Amino acid sequence: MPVEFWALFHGFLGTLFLMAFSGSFAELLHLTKAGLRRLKVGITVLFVTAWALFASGTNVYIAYRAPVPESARSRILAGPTPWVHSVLMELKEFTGAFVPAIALLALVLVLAWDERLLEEGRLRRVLALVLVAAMLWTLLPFGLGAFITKTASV
Amino acid sequence: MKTIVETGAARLLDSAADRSHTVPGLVVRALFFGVAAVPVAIGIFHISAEVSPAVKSFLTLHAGIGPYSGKVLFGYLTGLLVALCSPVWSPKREAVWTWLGILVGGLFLGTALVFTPIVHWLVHLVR
Repeated sequence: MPVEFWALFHGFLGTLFLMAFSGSFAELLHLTKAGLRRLKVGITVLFVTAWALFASGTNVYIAYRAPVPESARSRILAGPTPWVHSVLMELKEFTGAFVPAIALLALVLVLAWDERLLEEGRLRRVLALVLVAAMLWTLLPFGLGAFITKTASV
Repeated sequence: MKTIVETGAARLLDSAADRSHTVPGLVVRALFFGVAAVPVAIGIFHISAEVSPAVKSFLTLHAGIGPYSGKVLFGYLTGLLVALCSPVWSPKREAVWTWLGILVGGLFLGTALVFTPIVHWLVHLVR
């Protein structure tokens, strides 16, 4: 499959991840018994998209770092801003790899705490902060990805 | 080490199977610790690869992906190992804020360990 497809799919999954986060977070703010089921669905979608984002991103990364002069990495390193690869891309590839683990934690928390989330505000706040961490560590590679793509697309 | 993993894993399984508690506390805590360990381990593998070409070569599990493949795989395996070992120390209470603090600390430390200016500084210190 062409790398352009994987790059597009990667971006689409990112949008899905953002939607899953927004829905789950909004549900968590005023959690009801009916909302708990929607919260579980939202966090499951977030978990699946986090892993799919990582897998599709790895596919794009293979094309990015191909050892040929036309690859994005080669062009960036040969250009006037090699730091875009050596600083920004390095940060992007690793911080993106943290997110599936945070998403797994969020999924286990919502399944393990279940109805206790309705009763205990501190558990809701902890889960909300875990979701915010997943979001922040997704936004960082998102922003860096957009900047790197402006410099040299795959 | 094997005994720690065995004891931790056995307690983890007991906790997960125990339906008398709503919350399998050990499993939740183990996961907080394991997930916190993943970024730190990835960062340590990244710096090790920068220091030693032999480590870099060892971590290159996939030619197309490069050493990133080994850093991430072994980072996740380290997280799994930490999660399996953590139930050796039984929690006295459900200190969720402490567990969250450890998670956030791990994420920030891991991010610092893959930020190139810090990596260069640490590599310079080690060499």
